[in-house]
Amino acid sequence: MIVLGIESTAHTFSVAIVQKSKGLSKTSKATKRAKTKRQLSSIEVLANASDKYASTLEGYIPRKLADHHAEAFPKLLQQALSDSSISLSEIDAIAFSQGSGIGHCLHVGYVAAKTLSTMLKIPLVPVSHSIGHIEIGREFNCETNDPLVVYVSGGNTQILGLDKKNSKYHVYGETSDIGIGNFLDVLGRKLELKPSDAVGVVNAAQLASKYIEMPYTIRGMNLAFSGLLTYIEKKLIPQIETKKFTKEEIAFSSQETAFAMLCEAVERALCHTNKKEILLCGGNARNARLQEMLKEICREHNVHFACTSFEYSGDQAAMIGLTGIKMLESKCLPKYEAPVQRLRTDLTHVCW
Amino acid sequence: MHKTPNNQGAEAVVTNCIYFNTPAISKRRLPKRYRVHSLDSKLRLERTKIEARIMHRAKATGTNCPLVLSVDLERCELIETRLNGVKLVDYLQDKKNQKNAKRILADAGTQLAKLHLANISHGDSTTSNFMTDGKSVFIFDFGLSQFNATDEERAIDLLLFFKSVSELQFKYFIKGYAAQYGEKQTKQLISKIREIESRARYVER
Repeated sequence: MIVLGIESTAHTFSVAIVQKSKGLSKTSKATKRAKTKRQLSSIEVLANASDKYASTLEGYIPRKLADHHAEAFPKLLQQALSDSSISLSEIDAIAFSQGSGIGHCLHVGYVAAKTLSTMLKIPLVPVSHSIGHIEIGREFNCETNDPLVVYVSGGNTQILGLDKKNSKYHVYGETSDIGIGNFLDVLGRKLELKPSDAVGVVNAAQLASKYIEMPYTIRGMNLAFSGLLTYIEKKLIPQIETKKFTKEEIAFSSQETAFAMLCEAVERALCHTNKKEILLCGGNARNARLQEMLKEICREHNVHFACTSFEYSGDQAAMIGLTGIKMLESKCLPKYEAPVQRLRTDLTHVCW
Repeated sequence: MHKTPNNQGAEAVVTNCIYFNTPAISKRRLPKRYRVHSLDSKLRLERTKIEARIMHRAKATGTNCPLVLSVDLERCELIETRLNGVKLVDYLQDKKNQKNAKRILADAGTQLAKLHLANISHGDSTTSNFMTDGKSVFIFDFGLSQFNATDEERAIDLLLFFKSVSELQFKYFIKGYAAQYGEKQTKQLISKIREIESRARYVER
C-alpha cells in the first residue's frame, strides 16, 4: 500500500510518500539482519519533502503562512514524486493532517488533499496531527508497544498513554495554557536571539551556567508556562540593561525550569502508570538537554528511553502518511473529513 | 530508628520506621539528578518545610491527618505517625465494603472541607491520598498543599477527587463536604469546576 501524506498544520508544509510492504515476515533474513526497530518495520518512507516558513521577529501570521503553503504545494509534490520515483497513478490513498493547527494552514492542506483524492479517485484519510507524531515514534523507535508518551511541540505539551479499553490515548498530564515549544519560541523573540525561536534559546543556553530563580508552576501532572513567560518578560528582561543578568543566563534558567517542571510531571506519570518505556516525540524532542534529563529519569526507574529521530521529530508528512496507512488497515476512520482547529489527542480512536 | 522500605514515589521515598516506640513513617525527598542543583535543593527544602507546616496547621484545626514527629531539613526528611487501614482507592474496590462506602465517602468529604475551611488546599486530593480503617478517614501526602487557598484551588481539589471516583461516589462525597463547608458555598465551588474544565486546551466551550 502506498499513501501520499500532506502536512500543513503550522509553519511547515510537507508532502511524503510512505509504503507498506507485505513481504517482510518475522523469519526473513532481512529481519534477522535488521539492527534497529526502524529496519524491522514493514513501513518505509520513500520521500519526505518539506518546506518551513522562516520565523521572524513578528511571529507567524496565519495569512502569510497560508500563502507560503499554497505556493509550496506544487513544488513539493513534484519533488516527492521524483524522489520516490513513484507516479501519481500508483498511489492508493491520500492522508492529510486534519488538526489541531492554524485554520488557514489546515485549509490549504485540506484543499490540496481533497483535489488529489477527487482527481485520482482514491480515498481521503483525515489524520490527527498529534497522533501522527506519536505513531511515527512508536513504529520506528519504541521497543514495547505501550510507552508513556511525552509529546512536546509548539502547540502541545502532553503526557499520554494508550488506553486499550477505550482504544484512545489517555492524557495523564498536559499544559493548561501554552505549549513548551511555544514558550521557548516566544522567549527567543522576546530576548531577540538569532534565530528568534526555540533553536536560538537552546544555543544561548549552552553559553551560560548560572541559574536564576523563577516561578515553578506544576500542579499534580499538569503544567503552566504563561506565568513563567510573563515573569521573565516583566522582571528579568528589563534587568539585561542594568547588566544584572545576561540573555544567555535567562535562556539557560528558563529552559532548565521549564524542562524540570515537565520532567517532574513525567516522573509522576511514570510512577502512576508503571509503564516500561518513555517515548519522547514532537518538535522539541530534538532538544538534547530534554533528552538528557528524561534519560536520567529512565535510568533511575529502570525503563527504556525511546526518542524519535531528528528527521521525524519536527512537523513532516511522513508521520501523516504512516498514520494514514494504519488507519486504513484498521478501518478506523473519523466521521468527518473537514479540518478541525481544536482536535484533541484523546478524542481520536486508535484501534491498531 | 528501624526502617523497612515501603514505597518509592515520584517525589519521595516512604519507609516504615519506629520513632521512640511509635510506629511511624519516614518521608524523604531524594535529590533528583536531572535538574540543576540549586533548583533541586530549593524545591526539596521548600516542599519539606511547607509540608510540615501545613500538616501541623491541619492537625490543629481538627482534620484527621498524620502528626509530624520530626523534621530534618538537611536530609529533607519528615517523620510522621503511621496510619492504619487501607487507601480509599482500594477500599472502594473491595465489594464487601459497599454498604459502608457511602458513610466513608461522606467522611472523606468532611475531612477535605475541614482542610478547606482552614484555608488549606490539598493539591493532590485523589482517592490514593485518603486512608481509612473502616471507621474514620485520614488525609495524607501534603506534598502539593498550599496555605491561603483560593476558591479556585478548592475547586481543583474537588475536581481531582471527582476524576478519581464514579459519579455516584462523588455525590456521597460532596454531601459530606457540603454539610461541613456550607451548601451555598459548595454550589459556588461546583460552578467553578465547570469554569476550570472549560479552560483546558481544545475543549468544546
